[in-house]
Amino acid sequence: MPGGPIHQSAFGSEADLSRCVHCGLCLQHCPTYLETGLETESPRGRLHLIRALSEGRIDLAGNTMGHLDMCLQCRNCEAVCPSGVPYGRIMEHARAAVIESRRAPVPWRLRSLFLREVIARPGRLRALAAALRFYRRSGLRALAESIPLLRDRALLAPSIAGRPFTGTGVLARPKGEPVARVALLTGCIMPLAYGRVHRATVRVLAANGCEVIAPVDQSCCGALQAHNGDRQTAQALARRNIDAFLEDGCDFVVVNSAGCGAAMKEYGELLSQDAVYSERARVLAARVKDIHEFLLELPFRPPTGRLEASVTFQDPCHLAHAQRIREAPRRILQSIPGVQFVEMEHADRCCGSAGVYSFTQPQMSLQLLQRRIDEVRASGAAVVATANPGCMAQIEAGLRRNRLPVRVGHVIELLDAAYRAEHR
Amino acid sequence: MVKEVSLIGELQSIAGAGLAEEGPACTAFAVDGLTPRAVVRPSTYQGVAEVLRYGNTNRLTVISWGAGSMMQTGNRPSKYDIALSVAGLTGIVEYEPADLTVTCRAGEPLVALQEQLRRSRQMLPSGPFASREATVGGIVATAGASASRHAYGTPRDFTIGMQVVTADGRITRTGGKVVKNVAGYDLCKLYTGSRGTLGVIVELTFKLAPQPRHEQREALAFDDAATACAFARELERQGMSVKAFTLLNRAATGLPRGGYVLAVDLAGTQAAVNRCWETLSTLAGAAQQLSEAEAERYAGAEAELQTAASVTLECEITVLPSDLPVLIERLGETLEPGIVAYPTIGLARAFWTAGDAEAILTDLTAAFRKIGGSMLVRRCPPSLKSRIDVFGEVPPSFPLMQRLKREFDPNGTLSPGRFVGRL
Amino acid sequence: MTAAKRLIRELQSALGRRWVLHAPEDLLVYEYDATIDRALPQAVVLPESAQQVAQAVRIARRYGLPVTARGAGTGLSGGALACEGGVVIVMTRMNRVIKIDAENQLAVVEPGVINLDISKAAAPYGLYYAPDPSSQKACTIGGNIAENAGGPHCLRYGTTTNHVLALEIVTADGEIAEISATQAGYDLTGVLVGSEGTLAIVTKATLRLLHKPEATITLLAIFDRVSEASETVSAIISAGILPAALEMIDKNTMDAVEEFAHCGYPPDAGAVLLIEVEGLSEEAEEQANEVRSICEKFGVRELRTGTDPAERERLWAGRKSALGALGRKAPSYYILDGVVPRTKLPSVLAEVYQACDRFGFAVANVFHAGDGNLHPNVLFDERVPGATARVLELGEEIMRLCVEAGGSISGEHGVGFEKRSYMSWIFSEDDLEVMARLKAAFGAGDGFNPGKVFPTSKGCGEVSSHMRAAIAKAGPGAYV
Ligand SMILES: Cc1cc2nc3c(=O)[nH]c(=O)nc-3n(C[C@H](O)[C@H](O)[C@H](O)COP(=O)(O)OP(=O)(O)OC[C@H]3O[C@@H](n4cnc5c(N)ncnc54)[C@H](O)[C@@H]3O)c2cc1C
Ligand code: SF4
Ligand code: SF4
Repeated sequence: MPGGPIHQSAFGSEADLSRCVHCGLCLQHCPTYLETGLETESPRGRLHLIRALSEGRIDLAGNTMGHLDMCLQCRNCEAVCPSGVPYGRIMEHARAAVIESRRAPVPWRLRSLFLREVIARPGRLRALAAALRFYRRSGLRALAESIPLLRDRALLAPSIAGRPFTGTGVLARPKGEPVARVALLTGCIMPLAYGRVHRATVRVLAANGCEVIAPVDQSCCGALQAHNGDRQTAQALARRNIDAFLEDGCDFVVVNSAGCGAAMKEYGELLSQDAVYSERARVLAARVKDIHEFLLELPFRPPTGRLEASVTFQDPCHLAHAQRIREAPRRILQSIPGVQFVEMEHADRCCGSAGVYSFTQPQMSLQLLQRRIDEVRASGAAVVATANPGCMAQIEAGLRRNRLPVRVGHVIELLDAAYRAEHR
Repeated sequence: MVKEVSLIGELQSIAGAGLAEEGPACTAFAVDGLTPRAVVRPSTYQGVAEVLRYGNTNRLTVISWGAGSMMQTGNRPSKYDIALSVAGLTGIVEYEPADLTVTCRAGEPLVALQEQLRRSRQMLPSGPFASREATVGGIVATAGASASRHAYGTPRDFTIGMQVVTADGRITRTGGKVVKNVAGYDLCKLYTGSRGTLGVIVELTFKLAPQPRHEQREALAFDDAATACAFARELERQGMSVKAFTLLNRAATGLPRGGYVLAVDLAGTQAAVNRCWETLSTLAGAAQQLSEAEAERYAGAEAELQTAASVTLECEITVLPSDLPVLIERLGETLEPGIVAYPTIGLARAFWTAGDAEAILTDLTAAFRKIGGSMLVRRCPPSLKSRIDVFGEVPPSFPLMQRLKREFDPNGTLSPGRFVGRL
Repeated sequence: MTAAKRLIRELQSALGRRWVLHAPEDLLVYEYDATIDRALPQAVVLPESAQQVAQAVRIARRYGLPVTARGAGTGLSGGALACEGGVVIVMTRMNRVIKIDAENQLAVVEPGVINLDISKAAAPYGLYYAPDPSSQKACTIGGNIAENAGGPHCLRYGTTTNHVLALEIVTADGEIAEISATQAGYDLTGVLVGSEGTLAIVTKATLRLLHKPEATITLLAIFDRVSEASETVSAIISAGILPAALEMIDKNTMDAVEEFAHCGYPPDAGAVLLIEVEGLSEEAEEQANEVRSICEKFGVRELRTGTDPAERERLWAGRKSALGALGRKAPSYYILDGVVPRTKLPSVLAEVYQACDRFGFAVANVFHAGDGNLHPNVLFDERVPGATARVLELGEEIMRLCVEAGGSISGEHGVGFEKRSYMSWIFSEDDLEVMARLKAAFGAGDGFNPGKVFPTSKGCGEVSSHMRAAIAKAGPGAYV
């Protein structure tokens, strides 16, 4: 094979790959297949390509990588696959093999550099956030959005506004004996882009009788790096988090960002080959809870304050498909007095945010976003609730683009507002 | 006349001395005024095959017969040498009630078959037809539809296997004896309704239906066809257990009052039939509901018309159900024929006893073009047959049908000229 | 310029560059369907109109290349595989529901429409499309028409063929033709349904829609033994009850499903029957009661009832995910599709288990019991040397059992590539010759989905050599 030392088996384990029986039942759930009608842009097709790579039937020449790159890693296919094909894991390994082969194209390498050297590094990330905040306020964004060549990417750039979240240590302590001691994953993007969500989360947890802490030494969860094939960085980040969270001796690690929650629940798998950390990884992973699932497992206190709004919910992929949590956020929304909950069509299909996808595949990303926005519009809801910073930013961008007077909020923000309304 | 002698001689040696005849016996087998030179009634499939092989090699044409009750429909044959009757091929070959299927020979009369099936509380979901002699082979070969088509479909829906003798005398099978089967092309569909132009059906396997536990006939009077059709559709929409809807006009019923009668055959469990009756009664005004005796009388109306010698022109027209009221109205303008229609299917049969058939047809064809659908002239004066195609305009896929006929019957042995576009 | 390049160039100018695939990695994903067979095409096109289909057919014919239509590739008989190479015409972009005519209960759709989407489009009018293959969330109506697909509810409502009223087709010479089951003349629509893409390509279909029944009751009957369940099936039919659906799930299937769908099947049960009765509420109730007492007569151990959609959905969940879930039991499975007269079900089923035992393979049976339509799924690991060959041998034996019981070699999945050689068990040479006449009438010859349905076609030898080449290329881990 030209170009390179590439371990074929690195593309995925035979056992994982051979689970796919080509039944096609995942096809109609794959956003990219639905847009293109092309088998190469479908789960079954991508699995077949990965298998062919692993068997050496094809190499990375041609557009194979393009097809793998077009995948959102939304794992909708995995959730519906009756055969239990671990698609997310297979794709991560495949991307890792591409990166490791050193035959990855420049954009792949740049992306992985960016994820490793900026996203995973708090200082640099803060600088970027500051720049983005300036970009928004200064009117540069408005300018960029008006330049055809830049428009798509500019539009999808995260909107950094509001006060960042900087809290560490003990964040809240309830009046009586706490029902649980929980640690909050603060993460990389959320505190900068949506500090308000963290603040709401802390209040909501306290309102439900939890003591909340934020370990100082925690880091970015590593999800984006793992998805893009940089498992080394992801593993390093995971080890840091394991140390940080286990140190603090909390009962649970609560995560309000769907992507991070999914990644942390899979730490066991990520570090399964790590002699030192594999056991501790499993221990930590078992303590990780998505905020919605966590609240409902407590004796959840339904709010009595009212919030008059029609609300729809857009399932973050890594909540619905990776963590298989669909009911909890809906039940929380429905528990809020005054909220009229309406289902939008295809609520569980990807909005096109998908980590850094909106930058790498802006066209497909926008296409998917537009579908979701049309469905939001059709639902007639005044508020779109979701549970992941990427999704929030993406949907905000789509609404802005469509000049649709609909607000976006994290489910927990709405719940927090209802609790706060109790005191008015 | 050497050939004449050898024809009957050959046929007798094939089928057996008593089973081939010439002379006066042939007049009963005349088609559109053409009398065959011989009639043969083989008692085995092999006999049918040999007759066909003989005819095919000697360029003699063969028209197959069941009971003959539907022979008046079709274009005039272009040539007619041998009448091949399968009426002698009767009897059930295989019947296992728990399989809900039956295999029988093509000459078996439907009435006789139904009697056998009734003993196991099952039925062939077809008919009743006007003629008590009608054979299952003939019904399938003409795709005969009755009012129960509403609930059970047509022969294409319940014929699952066949043995057919081809023009060149091969006994072939298609389909099978199981209710679900996709092995090979479904040639049953092709032979169903092909009126003996592609092969001669000698054996059939049918999917059966359990007999309804309870049946009840209701009849309602309506002023106009549109309201009657809408009524039928409403019952259908509400999922009522109806086996058949039959709409009759005044000329068909001889009814003194009102314009139309809608006969509704309810079928199902007792409770379901009761419920249907209640729904029907609430939907219709009391005045509309006719007595049981009246309802029974209309049951035979269609058969009467179909067998009435006074009918000079009979047409069967299929349109979209939504177009049926317009069609019926339009038909009424042509000297008020007797009309029997199946509202949920969009099929109407019209029977004229007076008037110039050709003029009526010309008028209808023009009107019909606007509505769309298909029209079959089931009966008309023989003189007219040389000027019209009783199947109406050839369909857009006619070239494909021509190719099919050429492949299946290259010598034109089987009922030549009788089918669509004089195939 | 080579002929291959010219072909691509011509296809591109007819369909646009984007919709003509020819790079190796793009073709590779069209080498499979849901079977274990593989075959690579030379080009793949994705037309958006009947005109483009016709153009593609004409171009391919001009280059002497066979064409094969493809829907969603969920077929279970290798039907969509380009056994002799050539051009694959993928219908997934032609996926519009053109019209729902509620008054006349019709739907007019393009062939790439997903089966379930037709019912979705008809739902606002209280209508639905009855044939419901278990793959209905994924398979296309074009594929359904080609295979005459069935499904659980075909017991009462009939298979695809009973619901297709008219078609627009592209014939082998690239002509567009309209055919209809209600127009005068031969019923070309009837023969086209189930012709497995060997006569013409369907580019539009008019389908019959049904009103949703007033009441539907789903019963789930758990039996200790398969034999009790299969006798119950016969008894229900004999009692003059024609349920809407009558499905059976055996123990091995339950085990696999339980992991995925958590249906609460008892771990020691032998078989489950899913029985659905429909109609007016009175009628459904009455029938359900009768079914219950029949089940009891045959020793049912537990009966569950579902009347509202959510409950019914739960009872069906296991059945619907069964095939896919078998992927969890073994790396590969081989699905068989045979039919027997309903009365032969208990004996044939027993023989199937014996045969599998003899071959040393586990088998999971999940099937349309009411129709006598068996689906033994043989579980195996294709990586074990020789396993695949043994499985195929076993499959052949099971097919023989069905034929000997008076049944057929396929109830709904089609003959396709896999079962061509069994055709001669049920059809004589004359029978097959007549079928060939039909093919000739359509001008389809060997260029239209070659290597399918018929046991002895001219290209037969080439097929296997082509397949062998594909396998050789596929390397060690490849399927057969
Ligand atoms: C999990 C699972 C469950 C299944 N359950 C059932 C079931 O219950 N009942 C059942 O009957 N089948 C079932 N199947 C089989 C399969 O889904 C059906 O055969 C289906 O009809 C195939 O549709 P497709 O769109 O995937 O066609 P494909 O597999 O793409 O093609 C099948 C055949 O159709 C032809 N074809 C496709 N489109 C056209 C067209 N437009 N014109 C002409 N020919 C065309 C192809 O050439 C090929 O011969 C199941 C399959 C799976 C994987
Ligand atoms: S990934 Fe799963 S659902 Fe998709 S084709 Fe493979 S086995 Fe079927
Ligand atoms: S992860 Fe999402 S985009 Fe990727 S193949 Fe699966 S469903 Fe499609």
